[in-house]
Amino acid sequence: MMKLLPNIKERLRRTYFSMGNFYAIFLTFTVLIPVFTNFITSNNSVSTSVDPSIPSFFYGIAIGIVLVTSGFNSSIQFGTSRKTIFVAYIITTVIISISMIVINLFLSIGIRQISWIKNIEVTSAAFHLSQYSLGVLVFDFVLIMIGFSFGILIGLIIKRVKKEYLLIIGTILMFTPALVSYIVERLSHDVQQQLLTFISVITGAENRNIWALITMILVITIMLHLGSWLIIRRQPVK
Amino acid sequence: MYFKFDEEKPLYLQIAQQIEDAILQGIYKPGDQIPSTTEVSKDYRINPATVLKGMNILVNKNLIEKKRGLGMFVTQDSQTEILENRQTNFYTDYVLDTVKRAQELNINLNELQNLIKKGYENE
Amino acid sequence: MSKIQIIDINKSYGKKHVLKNINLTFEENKIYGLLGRNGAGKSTLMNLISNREFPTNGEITLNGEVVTENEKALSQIYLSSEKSLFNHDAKIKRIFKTAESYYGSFNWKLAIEMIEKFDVDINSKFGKLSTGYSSITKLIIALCIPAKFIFLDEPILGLDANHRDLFYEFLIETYQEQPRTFVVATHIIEEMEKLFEHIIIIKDGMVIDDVDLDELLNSCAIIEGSGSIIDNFTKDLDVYYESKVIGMKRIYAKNFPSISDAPDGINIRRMNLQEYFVGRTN
Repeated sequence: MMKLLPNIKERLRRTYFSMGNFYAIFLTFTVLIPVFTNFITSNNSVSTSVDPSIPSFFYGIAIGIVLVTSGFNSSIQFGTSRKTIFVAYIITTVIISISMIVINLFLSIGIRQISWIKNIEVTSAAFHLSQYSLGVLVFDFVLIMIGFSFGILIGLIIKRVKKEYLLIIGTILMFTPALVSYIVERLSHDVQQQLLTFISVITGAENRNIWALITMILVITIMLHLGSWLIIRRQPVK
Repeated sequence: MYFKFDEEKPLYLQIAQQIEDAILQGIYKPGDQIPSTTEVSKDYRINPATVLKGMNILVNKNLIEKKRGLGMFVTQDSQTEILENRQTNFYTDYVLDTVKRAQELNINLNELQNLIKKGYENE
Repeated sequence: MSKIQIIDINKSYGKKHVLKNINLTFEENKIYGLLGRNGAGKSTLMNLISNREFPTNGEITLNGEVVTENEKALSQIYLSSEKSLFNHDAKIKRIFKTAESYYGSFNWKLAIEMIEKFDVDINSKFGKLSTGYSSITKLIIALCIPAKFIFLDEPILGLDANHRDLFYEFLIETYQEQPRTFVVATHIIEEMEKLFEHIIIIKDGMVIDDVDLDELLNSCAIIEGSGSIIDNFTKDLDVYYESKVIGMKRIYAKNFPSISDAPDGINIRRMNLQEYFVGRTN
């Protein structure tokens, strides 16, 4: 795995750069513009409470795709094995995810400290808690990680699958939610109840247990990575 | 009937010949350094190994010598050696051919001798 | 002695059998010409050697170790291909630095010389370069990394005559200063012919020639003459190609004896590599 370090350094370099872009855009729209509006109207009427978790999740997907579609080829050009490339992806995404939650944490604490910013908050977590706890932090972390793992898998599928098939897959994916709800509606009431209970237990909604949700997300992330590994290990560069 | 390959010899032989020609003409005098393998390769876009092969032929004939760390140099007796060599080969290299052509054109020995005399007088 | 061995390599894409039982050796410190018509399989072969694609059958080794997915072996092998795998947004300077970090070293002295002579703007983005400068940039990288086996697929694509000359000069110079193996796959045979020591010709996915260039050209001849005279003369020869020239036939023969009796009306001469190639792959 001798090329691991240069690979990671290169991935991080490029990803940190785009992360900078992400935060610049995010903060501009969610903080700077409301602050500016408040400042102009000088009555602090705008009040926002933004949560970077969900945007970070989507950012993870986007960067995951970019890592694969633009980084893979040049790694191969310089003699990297696919195993090393894959490990580098995972390590890079872990480092970036940790970086992001640290930044998000500082943002939420920091913005609160700035006295002339009124009524504008940066928070975290789908549970709308405006206080950080370990569970919430870990939740944010795995949320970004699963975003990355989706992105990497999607990127690899795009690279591997012929264009015609991509269209078919895309169409099927679009109709999946409709299909699922159609099937669920046809189930008996009892089965529906059982399904609901099952989902609320594994997502932790039932016991308000964030760790169950975290575990579920981690499991899905690992499965996605497994799928990615299966594709990447024989991925040709033509 | 006698024939030989038209013009082109293997590249390394041509290189050897060109350096010999240059020595004969005095372009490289005894003791002079001749261009290095790299220089010749670059000038003519030839693989250095081929150039070296050509030069080694001359080294073996003792026309040039390798001085460690410095390069290839023309040996003292090279000019005279080449001259003698070519004089010896003159018969096979040129005379036989000319005689053959003369015979094809029905030029007899006497006529040929007159032509040769004319050639010398023209100098 | 370092060497790359191609052992019983086969490559198929579905039903299409692109490389058939390829067996080759690339020795250290030699300049090879890898020739073949479009679609013959040269690029595919080089893709397999450089771990871009996987063989369907067979293996490729460097000093006995299998090359596929092997980073230690791959650090000694480099392919500069027609298709650029570099990040199009990256500046040239950055790509050089990236190469340095992957290979541990980079011949900056040579790179700077080449940048100056070729007049490269190292702050330009790779994706914005013309075909010529894209080739030049790729060449600089190929010549400046410390790998021992460098494969160049159509290296002079888009280069004007002056730049081609420069390229040959740099290639020869670096070949002398740091001997390593260069394998050049090209259609521009005439210009590069004298640089090759060893020739490999691929036709329809198979190796039809794997030979020292001098040996090859020493043993072939082009025989020109008219009608029955030439047919009679060449009937016992190993003829591999025939063509018609104004009023005459031109015969390409292999394993030609160096001296023989030839009747009037027959012209015999050596051929150059391009002539050999055209006849051999027609």
